[in-house]
Amino acid sequence: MMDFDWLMLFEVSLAGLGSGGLYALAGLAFVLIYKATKVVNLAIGEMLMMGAYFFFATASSMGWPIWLGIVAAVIGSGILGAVIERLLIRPMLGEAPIAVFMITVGLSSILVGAVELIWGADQLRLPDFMPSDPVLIGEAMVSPKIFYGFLAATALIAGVLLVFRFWRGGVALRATACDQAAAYSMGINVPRVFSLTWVVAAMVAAIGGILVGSISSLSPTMGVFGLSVLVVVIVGGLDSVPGALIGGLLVGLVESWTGTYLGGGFKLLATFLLLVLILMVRPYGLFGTREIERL
Amino acid sequence: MTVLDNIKLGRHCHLHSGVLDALFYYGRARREEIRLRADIEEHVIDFLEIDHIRHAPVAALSYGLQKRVEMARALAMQPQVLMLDEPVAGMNREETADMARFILDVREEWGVTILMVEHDMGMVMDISDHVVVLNFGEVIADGAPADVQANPEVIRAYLGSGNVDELRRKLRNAGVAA
Amino acid sequence: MRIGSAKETYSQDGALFDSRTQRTWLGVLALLLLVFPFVASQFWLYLACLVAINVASATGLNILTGYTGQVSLGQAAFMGVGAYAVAVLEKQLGTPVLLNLLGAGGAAMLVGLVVGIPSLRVKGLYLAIATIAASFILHFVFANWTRVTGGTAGLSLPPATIFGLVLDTEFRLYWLIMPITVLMLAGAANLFRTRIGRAFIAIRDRDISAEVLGIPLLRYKLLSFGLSSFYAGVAGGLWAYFFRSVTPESFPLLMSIFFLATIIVGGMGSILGGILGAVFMTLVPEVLKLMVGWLPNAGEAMVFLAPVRTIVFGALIVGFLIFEPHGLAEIWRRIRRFFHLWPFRT
Repeated sequence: MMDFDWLMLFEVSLAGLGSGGLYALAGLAFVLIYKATKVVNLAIGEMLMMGAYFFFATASSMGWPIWLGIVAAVIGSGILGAVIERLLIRPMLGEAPIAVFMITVGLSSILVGAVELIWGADQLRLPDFMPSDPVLIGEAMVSPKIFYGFLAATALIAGVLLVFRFWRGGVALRATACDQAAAYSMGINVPRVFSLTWVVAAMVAAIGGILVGSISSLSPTMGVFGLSVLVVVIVGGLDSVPGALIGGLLVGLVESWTGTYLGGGFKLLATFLLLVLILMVRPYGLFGTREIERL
Repeated sequence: MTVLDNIKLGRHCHLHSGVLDALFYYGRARREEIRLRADIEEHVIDFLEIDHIRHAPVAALSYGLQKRVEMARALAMQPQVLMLDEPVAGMNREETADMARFILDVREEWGVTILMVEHDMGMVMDISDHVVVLNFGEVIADGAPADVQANPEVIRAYLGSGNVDELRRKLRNAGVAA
Repeated sequence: MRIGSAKETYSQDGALFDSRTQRTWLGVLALLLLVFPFVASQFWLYLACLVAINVASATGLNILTGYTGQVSLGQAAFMGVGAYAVAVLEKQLGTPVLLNLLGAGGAAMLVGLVVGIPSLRVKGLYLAIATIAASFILHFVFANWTRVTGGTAGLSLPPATIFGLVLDTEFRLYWLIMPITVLMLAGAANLFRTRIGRAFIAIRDRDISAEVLGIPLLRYKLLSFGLSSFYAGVAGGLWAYFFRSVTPESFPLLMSIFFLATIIVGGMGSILGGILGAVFMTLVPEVLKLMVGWLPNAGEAMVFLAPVRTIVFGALIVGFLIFEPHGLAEIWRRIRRFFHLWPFRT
């Protein structure tokens, strides 16, 4: 085994962890929504895409400075999240979960169509705003975009974990997801919790989208990313923030390894085989809470 | 599902038509369905007096009628032993009287052994042949209703002995804080 | 105004079409279906065939998702299995058309049974995600099992021949596709008059209680998967004979979403819902194309057709779910009730 290329394995693994961080970020946005509203948001990939396109609109089309463009894109995404929640999710309060799931499917179609209508179907490039020298970890080279993306993602996730640990609102969030009526009667402002969750999740997704968009390119089909995020949250547990992190890193690693050693066509296959494995062995994910069905 | 569908569901295990019979319908499945319908109408629906709601969706019925449909479904299974868990819970006087009447009729006309768990003392004493009383998991009485009614243990379990210390002691022994 | 309909025998009460009016209208519809291909242009025949194929597949999905409550996003993948099966059988063995279609249904059914195995372990959303995974895995097989499926290039097949007659025009294919679709619809409607259909509905409503009543869950859930994928396989086979070319891209996940949207828009849990939904969702893109063609600068506007179609698709799903969750079938029932009760209001 001595001539096995350990360095390449290390590099590939680092790349996998790096992209895993981005998956974890998208997974975080998903988990936030699920934790508070029990909504499975299949449109998460498209919400990432919207953040990236907003950034394109502000920084590229309108020529604003990068930092302002990012802030504007994030705020714009937050507003979009609030609008989505108010118009599409609020009316479906109390309906069957699969109906709400289909609403997010419809939403993803609407967003993709809107993006294609406004910006066209061609691929676009985001302005570069990250340092472009390759980063060296030991002897391994890591693409700078992936490295800084990973740093941003972990910082954000750490921030959210701290907030949940020390803020009373974290309990309010979980109470609302568990039983809306009971939460209401405890004085929790349920509609405000809903709106806040979607706004924050949309903003997190926007940051993820900007990072992903910088690494690859922008196109209306960016939302396909959402399917891999689905695997991430199933692996980690639908309502677990640390699960999103671990799941993201795991999926990132698996994709990177299969991509390098088996070929690009096998990446999605490996991810979905992992999904099937987890569904058969631990359906609630590595860290998710077990749902008990009561008659 | 309508009342009729629910009752037919009870007979599921005794029916035999398979997928191909079902897809084609005109043949074995149709004969079986008609025979089933005739049997249910005669023995279950008439018996439980639910003919006026046979095509109603069950979710639209009152609680008492829903319970009666459940009984009908259980009867459609052609049971030898019928186990009823709090059959009159949440019912008013009229519905309880109806249910008691039906339970007695089931025993007489169908010859079914009935095991009923119930807290409604009036109903238990009125219709049971044999009563077993459980208190905190222990059998404290076992016999005919009249005997059980007079049993001092049973009276004490229901009404208490008026002695608070004894109650405290009993609860402490049972491991519940006092 | 219809006050009631008196039935004199149990078989009358259990009939699918129970009043004289309904039977008359059914006769009119049958007549229209028979006359239609002789008066319609090739474009409308093409649409009719496409609608019929979609109705067949949507009915299959309705059996699984609408009646048994098992959400599946794998319908397109099962259709793909059927399409490839027909293509392979036609090219390699040259077996008769009807046998090929049965083979397609059978192959899809076997795959459906395997995909349905997780349904005992996982429910609801998790099952939906498992079917997404199955869809991707099947897509991978279509694209990479080159020896059998022709890889990414796919397969192309010669037109079907029945008793020496070559089915190479829409007019001729209509007479293959429409009767098969009608038969499949009749089968599905019959299914829910019998114990098997009732068991499916019971599983949808409360599967634990259904099990207590003596319905073996795994067997019936698998039966539902198998039956619905059989329908998908036959629909896929018809699709293959219709388009004469099968590639891995012919049956993407988006098509599964399309079928799920079809039964939601049409009305889950009703055969009529499957029909109305399929007709509506297949015709909407065509109507959009017509409308864009009427605009003053039609040539430029065409560019916007694809994204507008996507938006309308998403908007339809969202709109129906929020405003009419029971779909077009419920709207139809309301209209019927209105005419039954007229001149009274309720």
